[in-house]
Amino acid sequence: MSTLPELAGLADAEAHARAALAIVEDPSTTPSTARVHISAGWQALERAADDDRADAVDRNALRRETQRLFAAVRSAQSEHGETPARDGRRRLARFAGLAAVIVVPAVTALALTMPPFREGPWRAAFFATKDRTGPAIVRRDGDVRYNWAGGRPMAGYPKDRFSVQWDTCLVLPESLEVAFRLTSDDGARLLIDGERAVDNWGLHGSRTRGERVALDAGVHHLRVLYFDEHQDASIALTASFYGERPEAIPARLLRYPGATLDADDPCGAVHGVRE
Amino acid sequence: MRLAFDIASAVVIAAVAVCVVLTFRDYGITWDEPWHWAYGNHIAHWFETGGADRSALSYRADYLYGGAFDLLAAWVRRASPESIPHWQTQHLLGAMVGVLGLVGTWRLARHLGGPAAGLAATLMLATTPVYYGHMFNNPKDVPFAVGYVWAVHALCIVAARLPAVRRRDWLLLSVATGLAMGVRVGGLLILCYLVAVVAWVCWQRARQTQSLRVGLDLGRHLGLATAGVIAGAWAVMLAPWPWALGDPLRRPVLALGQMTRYLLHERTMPFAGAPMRTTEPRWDYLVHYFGLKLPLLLLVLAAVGLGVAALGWRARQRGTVSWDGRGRAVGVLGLATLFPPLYAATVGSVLYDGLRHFLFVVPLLAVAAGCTVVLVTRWVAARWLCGRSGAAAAGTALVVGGLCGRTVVQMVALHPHQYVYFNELAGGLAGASGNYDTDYYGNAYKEGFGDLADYLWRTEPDAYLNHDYVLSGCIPDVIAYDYLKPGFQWRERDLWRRPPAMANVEPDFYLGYTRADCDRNHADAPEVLRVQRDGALLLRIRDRRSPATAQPVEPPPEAEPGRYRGRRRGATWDKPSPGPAEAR
Repeated sequence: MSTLPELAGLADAEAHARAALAIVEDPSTTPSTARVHISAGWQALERAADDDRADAVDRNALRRETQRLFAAVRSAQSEHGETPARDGRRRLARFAGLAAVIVVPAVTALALTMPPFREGPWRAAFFATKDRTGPAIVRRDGDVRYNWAGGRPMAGYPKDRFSVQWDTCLVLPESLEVAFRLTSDDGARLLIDGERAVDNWGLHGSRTRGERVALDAGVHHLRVLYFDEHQDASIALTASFYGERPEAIPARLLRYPGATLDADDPCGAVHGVRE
Repeated sequence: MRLAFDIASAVVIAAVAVCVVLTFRDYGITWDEPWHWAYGNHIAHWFETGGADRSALSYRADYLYGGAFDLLAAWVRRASPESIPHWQTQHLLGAMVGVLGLVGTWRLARHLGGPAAGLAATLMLATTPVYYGHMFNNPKDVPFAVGYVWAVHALCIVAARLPAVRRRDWLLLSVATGLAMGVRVGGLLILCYLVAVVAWVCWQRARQTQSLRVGLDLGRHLGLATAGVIAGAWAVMLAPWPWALGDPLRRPVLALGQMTRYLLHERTMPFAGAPMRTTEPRWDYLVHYFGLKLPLLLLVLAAVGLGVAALGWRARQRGTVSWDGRGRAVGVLGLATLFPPLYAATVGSVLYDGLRHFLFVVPLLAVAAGCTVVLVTRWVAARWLCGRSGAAAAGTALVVGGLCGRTVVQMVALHPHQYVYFNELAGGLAGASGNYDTDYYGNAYKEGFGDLADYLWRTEPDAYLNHDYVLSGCIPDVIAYDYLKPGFQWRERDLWRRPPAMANVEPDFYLGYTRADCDRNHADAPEVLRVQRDGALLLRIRDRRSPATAQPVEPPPEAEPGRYRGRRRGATWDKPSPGPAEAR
């Protein structure tokens, strides 16, 4: 026995079906307007009957009709100068433009503030002996600051009883009193133009020694000698040129002396004396 | 006009990115970072050794977290040039991930409120000190916040489009949720939101059609897609998480259970002027921190926005307004913003370190605030300006820009400690100092080490050239070793860790930050230096040398107003006076 709302719903569905049929059959109307009634009719039928009739609608047929609608929309957009491809290109261009606005300044700032990617101004010679004898591996270092702790300075070297000699050329634009500070474990020594400037030699743990040295404008040869006896190993050379706290010597003041050194004039190449 | 707003948003994000690039070297190492650094390396080793190196499976409590950010950071550190110290690489990466959070916030706000809302939200998040400050050196909370805002963005798109969702939207939701869960398994919440939204849509459809079967059919159809999203997110989460890979279904759930009962940092902390246990937080803990640590503009606008959304929800419940896609998306935003803090307050979750555990809500609050700016502008134009939206927009831009500019000035003054910001309700940082956790991450130590070296060079240059100073403090040893200048040594806290030569050495200086009252240790030793911002102490440095050898020390600077005080980036020191230094 059907209830009153169910009967009313069925009547509603039938009314929509009739309206749709009337539109489709009438050559003076736009057939697509029947869809509203078809849709409403199915909904009314579904509510009123609550059975499987709604499932009888062919989903694929509806999908095909939906795709036809999409095609019609695309066609209309095309007539107005809009195509999916053009729209996609426009979106891509906008995305790329906005991404460029964000990325380009950041990358530029990073590039400007990065330390220069160039080889260091120090010539470092690593010896597998405590007294800088025997064959050495020579390389370029950016700074004299290492903390090997209890480890090896490089592969193939012993953890203890090794030594290093660093050489570079300091180019001073004016005469200055420079404060040098040498912290090391074990011994280290700073020579300037062959003269002992800071002496931190001997067997000890981490220890700091420093001196103020008056230097004329021009090129000066800096040499740091270092050895490790046992256990922890570390070294750091810092300097103060204009009264600021001692820090690593700025690379702009240093020149690489060359892979091979002239014992009489290690900075000859930098002087321009020796080509 | 829409394009102009988008370009302006991109300019704001670009400005933040440039600030990041110019300042990332200033930020210190927070005490949480070394653990995540090591955990990232362990995960990398686990993959490289085919699982033979099992350190990642039991490393501290970190194995309970996914390694989405930590593993990425480990790989980036390895790839970065030698000329950049690896900690700086890590901080740059973290900050850039934070910038990605700005992009996610912009897109979410744009989706909900249009390009103008996108601009307003981006601007407000960029000028939220607590978010900006954490970007550089918080390897857990900021990456999670970024994953969360992107996942909520994807969920809002899905909710708006249901039931006809594009595949790429499902995919974005799956990946973003997986990445959030890969940082912190609590991201599982997003999947719960998804299930709730799908259930809501099915129920709505059943109600509209008055047919339960229609709702169930739709549920069956959407259930497949939802299951696909859950499976995809689960896979993304598991990929960088070796411990969870051992039992993919059970262990993430176990980790979630562990996280909800996290008792590893049980301690007392200041809260509203009184001590409070981290394990027994007051119900209003988050109310205080959200209310005091966010800029007032953001706070007020977000509250208004969420209030308006709630009123809209009530109207829809009464049936006077129909549910549309945008309404569902706004509902998702409200759920994702309000549910986590309400849940934490209800169950009494373990909370500490200020707002950082709920940092992931801040971008969503910025979105709500951004949408409110647009709503308020339209309302003002319609109510008082006879629909002249241009004048209303100009006025809004002036007010919002002015207030954000004021916050930027405060952020510059706090640099690089933006995360310690407190708003005017707390009386600023000075008002919060002592009453709330301020420098809980130890970021001030980096500045303290540098300022101490400056101070010693300035006050005792001859001794500085020929002397090694021994320092001690409250931060992890590995961080201290990174900060040490040549000629300075660190006395490790644990006796068994100290090298024999340092076993009986008394430190010359003690550096204490305010967390756990560390700055109050060795109160008998004179204070020589402090790092402070906005008049609030962040780090105190005490001279523990014997009076015979110590430099002359003055009372704390604030004790004698009018005394000469030098100032460099917030540090203060007293002018050296004649005395033992000259005599020595």
